[in-house]
Amino acid sequence: MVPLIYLYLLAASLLAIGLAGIASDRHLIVIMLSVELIFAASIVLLVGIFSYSSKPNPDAVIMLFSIFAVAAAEVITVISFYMYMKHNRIEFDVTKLSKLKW
Amino acid sequence: MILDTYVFAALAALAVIAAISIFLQRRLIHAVLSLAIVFVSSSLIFLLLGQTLIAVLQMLIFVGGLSTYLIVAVATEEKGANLISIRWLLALSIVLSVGLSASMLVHVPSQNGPSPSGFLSAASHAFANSYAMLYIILVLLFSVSISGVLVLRKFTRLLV
Repeated sequence: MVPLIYLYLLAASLLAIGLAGIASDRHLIVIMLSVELIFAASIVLLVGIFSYSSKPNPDAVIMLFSIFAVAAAEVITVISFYMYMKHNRIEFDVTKLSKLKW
Repeated sequence: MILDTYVFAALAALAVIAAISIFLQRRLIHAVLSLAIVFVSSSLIFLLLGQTLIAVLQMLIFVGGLSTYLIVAVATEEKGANLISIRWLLALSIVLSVGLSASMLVHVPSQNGPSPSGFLSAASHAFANSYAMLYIILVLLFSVSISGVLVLRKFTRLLV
């Protein structure tokens, strides 16, 4: 079996890359992709701990489904914003969103 | 098993490289495809850990749902010539399907054996429980659907 520390390292790497993407990029969709990376890292860690525990808690599966639901809802919401902003010719630079008028 | 560690290392390296390439791509659709590769590699890691149901759910929801939805949403807004080489997608789908099929056929599952450990025995056990066949079908289906979206996008641009 694969040592659990390797799964920790993989999850930490994906989390770090996602955080770096959120901090560095300004495009709305790329920031959303970074958040999806963080979700993937959390799922990897959750499944790894679930697989290696001697008494796996069934609540972990419910947590997994909740992560799936939140990730899907986030993507749908951001894509809806993306389509609206594209249609109205609004820039996707998040640093300029404060200049949107009501 | 040492083989499990090597397979995990390869999948983890693929996931990390694909994650980094999300921010190095010039085109948005290539970044979305890189994210899909991250999800596929994490799904294969779950299969390596023996969690076949979670691997199938990962493929269904993240790759089949989210990634396909993102690709369609972004591809309709992209302008320009060739988004991605179709031959690369076809080659990747063939490699994935052949690789998964070969891993299932290498080990014959035992009827009354203990719980499997290791990638190949877990995969063969999953094959006996019919999850792996669904997994292979899903990989093929998603590869064809994503390729179909890109091909349709290319041909409709030519017709306009």
